[in-house]
Amino acid sequence: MPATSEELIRIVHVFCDQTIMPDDITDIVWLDGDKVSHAELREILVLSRYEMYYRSTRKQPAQRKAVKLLRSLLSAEQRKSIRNNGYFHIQVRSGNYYRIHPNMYPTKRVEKHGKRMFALGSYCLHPDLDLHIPHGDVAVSHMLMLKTDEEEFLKLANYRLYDRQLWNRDYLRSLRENTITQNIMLNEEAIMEAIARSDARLAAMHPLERE
Amino acid sequence: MTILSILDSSGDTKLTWQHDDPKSVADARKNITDLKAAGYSFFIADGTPADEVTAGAGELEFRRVDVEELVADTPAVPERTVAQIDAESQTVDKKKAGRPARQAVAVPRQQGG
Repeated sequence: MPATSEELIRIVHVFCDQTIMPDDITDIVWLDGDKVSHAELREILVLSRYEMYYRSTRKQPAQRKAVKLLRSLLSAEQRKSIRNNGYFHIQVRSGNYYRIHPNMYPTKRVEKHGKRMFALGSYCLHPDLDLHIPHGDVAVSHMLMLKTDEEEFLKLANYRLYDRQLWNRDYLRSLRENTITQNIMLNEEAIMEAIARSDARLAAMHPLERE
Repeated sequence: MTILSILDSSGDTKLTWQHDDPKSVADARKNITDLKAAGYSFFIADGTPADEVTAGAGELEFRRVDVEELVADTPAVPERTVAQIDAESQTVDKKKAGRPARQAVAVPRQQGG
């Protein structure tokens, strides 16, 4: 666990700055040597969401202006989605779905399974960083490119396929299987150790005591 | 009047020109050509039906256009004069004013990260 609140805040800021990706956050080690637990990860994600909201609405007038322009290009349903979820979905001519975040860079490729959308991977595409274009404007450009020329967008963007595909529960199943396998291996090692200890104790005994 | 939103570090900068004013169109053509040289792409969002889009509903169609198409493009809905827009802004609540039925956006060159 974090030793101080500053350590937690630092991780939240690193997460918000996109220096690390959500998949990598579980590899982070606190200063006391412990790995980030599931509960701590949830706390980091919640705090990051507040931080992103704060950055997007309170601190950056450019971002507010950009989001206003973006909202003027969206349908009522998409605007509602931004208000409720922080992102919106678009469907392009090929039939593919994309999830766009006005307050973050990665646009995600999503698939619809039943009533829910699941992210398959993310695309990194942005203007020259020296231009300091706000995230809202990047969202505008992604939406316009995807709506008009999806092929060019896919050609220019760097795609990152997520390791964890959650839509068909394969990832959760593999996690469970790995845990069971690890438990069996741990048990086998414990049994072998117990046998070895027993052998050593037997060997140390007087021959008459063994009987 | 056409309004072009140029995406930049301030959010966006508006470039406007009147179709019936040759000087205004020439200035706009020069600015847009400079933007094109700097790597910008141009998109037009058209609302259908225009009235519903203006009221905040309806759907927007997007298309990519070149410089000449953008400068020569005339709005599908009747143009309003500046006096009309001012009069409407005084009578209509700004939060419920909806959105323009037609918008043009200039997007800077993108690169994979």
